[in-house]
Amino acid sequence: MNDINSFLSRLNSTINFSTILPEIILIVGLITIVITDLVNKGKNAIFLYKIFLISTLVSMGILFYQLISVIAFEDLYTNNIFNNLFRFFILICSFISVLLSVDYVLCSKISLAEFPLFKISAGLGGMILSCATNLITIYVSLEFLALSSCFLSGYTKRDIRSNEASMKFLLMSGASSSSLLYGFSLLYGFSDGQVQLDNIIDKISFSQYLPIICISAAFILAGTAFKLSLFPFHQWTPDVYEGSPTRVVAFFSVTSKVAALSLFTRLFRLIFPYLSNEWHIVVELLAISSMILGNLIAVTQRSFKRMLAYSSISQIGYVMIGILAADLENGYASMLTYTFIYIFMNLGTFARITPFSLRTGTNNIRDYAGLYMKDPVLTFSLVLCLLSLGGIPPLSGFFGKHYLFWHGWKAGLYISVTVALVTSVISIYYYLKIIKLMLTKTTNLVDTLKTYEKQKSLVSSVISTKLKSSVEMAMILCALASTLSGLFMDPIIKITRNTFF
Amino acid sequence: IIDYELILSTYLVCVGFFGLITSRNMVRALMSLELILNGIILNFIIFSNFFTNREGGEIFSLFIITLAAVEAATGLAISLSIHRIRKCTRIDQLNLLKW
Repeated sequence: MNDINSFLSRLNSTINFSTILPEIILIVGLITIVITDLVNKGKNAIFLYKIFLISTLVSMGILFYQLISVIAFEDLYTNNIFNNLFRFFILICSFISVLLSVDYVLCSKISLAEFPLFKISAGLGGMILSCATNLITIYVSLEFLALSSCFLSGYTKRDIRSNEASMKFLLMSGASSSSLLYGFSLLYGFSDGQVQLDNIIDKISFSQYLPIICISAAFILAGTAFKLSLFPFHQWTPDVYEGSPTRVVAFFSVTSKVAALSLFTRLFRLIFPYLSNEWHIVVELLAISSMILGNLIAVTQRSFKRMLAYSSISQIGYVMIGILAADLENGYASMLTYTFIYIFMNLGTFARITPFSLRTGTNNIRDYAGLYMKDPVLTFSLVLCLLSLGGIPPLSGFFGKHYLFWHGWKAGLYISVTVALVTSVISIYYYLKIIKLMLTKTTNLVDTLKTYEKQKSLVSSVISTKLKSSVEMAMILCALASTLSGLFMDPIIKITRNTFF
Repeated sequence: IIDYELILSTYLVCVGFFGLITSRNMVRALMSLELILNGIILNFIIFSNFFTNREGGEIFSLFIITLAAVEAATGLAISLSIHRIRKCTRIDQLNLLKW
């Protein structure tokens, strides 16, 4: 008894449980889902989704409370506003993407319990990655996120494209995270055996080992740029986005990018401050090329998901400008604000594609022609989200981009901001192409849309009204957030301001 | 002597990358991935030999070994489901998603 008491008191002093309470709630939700599924033997799968939603909401509530009152430091975790904001973003992503995938439950015959399981584990991996300050924690949580996403992308086993996408994802993510790990091993070796990020900076002597640190920086850059899908490491993005089921793409297009952004910023800010000139130039080059490449290739795409993949490559190019432009008074405000707006824009677009592909079974852009006549709600919300992605004034995408580019110009990144402006204009072309296609009445409708009404009634007779409206709720939430967050951007900027470390 | 050891681990990583890029079979690609991770583990152990507290590198190596096993399990599950549909596991025949 004495041993248990002393063990518990030692445990309490080393691990401050209240800091990781949101993650603990997610883990409890995960275990509940597994046990519930085993007990129910596969029936009543909607209950599992409700558990997921409840646990995500409770985590968000606790995280919100923690954002207001900062809690003590720790070894594996530090609790500053930067980390907490990223955890909050990832919880929002998980919540909205689960709202999207609820109707998947009844319309497919594949095993259903693993889907919320992998989504929770990927969300957990992302949350822990946002707070990790230990090399081990970073690697483990990165792999956790990557492997859960890999399982999710191969979810529809019967579809060969899904299998191909997940195989490509696994091999390339394995190669890139091993490159990251090689960089970590060099850092570990030359900093006298330290695994904590803060201790590494203390002990490593930059003057003596400069070539080694440059090599290590190059490998770490290769590893993290894969997850962010920057230019030379972007090849996996269109294939994986096209092959995976749409709900899954919605989830990991925002979650893994947000988590990878926090990892990238923390690693490069903390470890390589003396190399600022070098890695600034390299990241600027990567950002410029991914903006140019993403936007130019997206013009030629015929599949909606592939076009969104290339457009997300270019959006990350814009966010890189925000990372480069961080300074003392504003912190990473521009990057965080744009990430917040990007989450809603991207999830909103996927929220509209998902019911459309469910009802008509196709992802080609040409099949969206004349959608205005059949389903005006979907059309208008898709119009709002696409215009926000393009950066048209009253919507929030414009305000996010404006702040980002202004910040970048002030920090002296003239070439990047010019290229970003030009490519933004190019991106408006392919978004408007879709909008024009949807809104114009065509005399001969495509065959897919002729059967649109019939399938819609089939779907709505099978599922109850509560489920049908969850996707609509997600749609409306994202549409509102992408229009109104621009107008209410001042409080968001104020919160994200003091995040420089 | 540490240069020779580091060259050995770098050589293992390079052989692994070569195998990963040029293998037509899925299982062979997974084995090459394991080889890369083993080379990196060797790198960690080499470095941890020179410090008084060896915990950092060795604990990290245990974690990497576990994660390599998880990745191999994932890869084998995916190649199993590919095999069920296509009756073979050649990677270069998976070319449905292009441009």
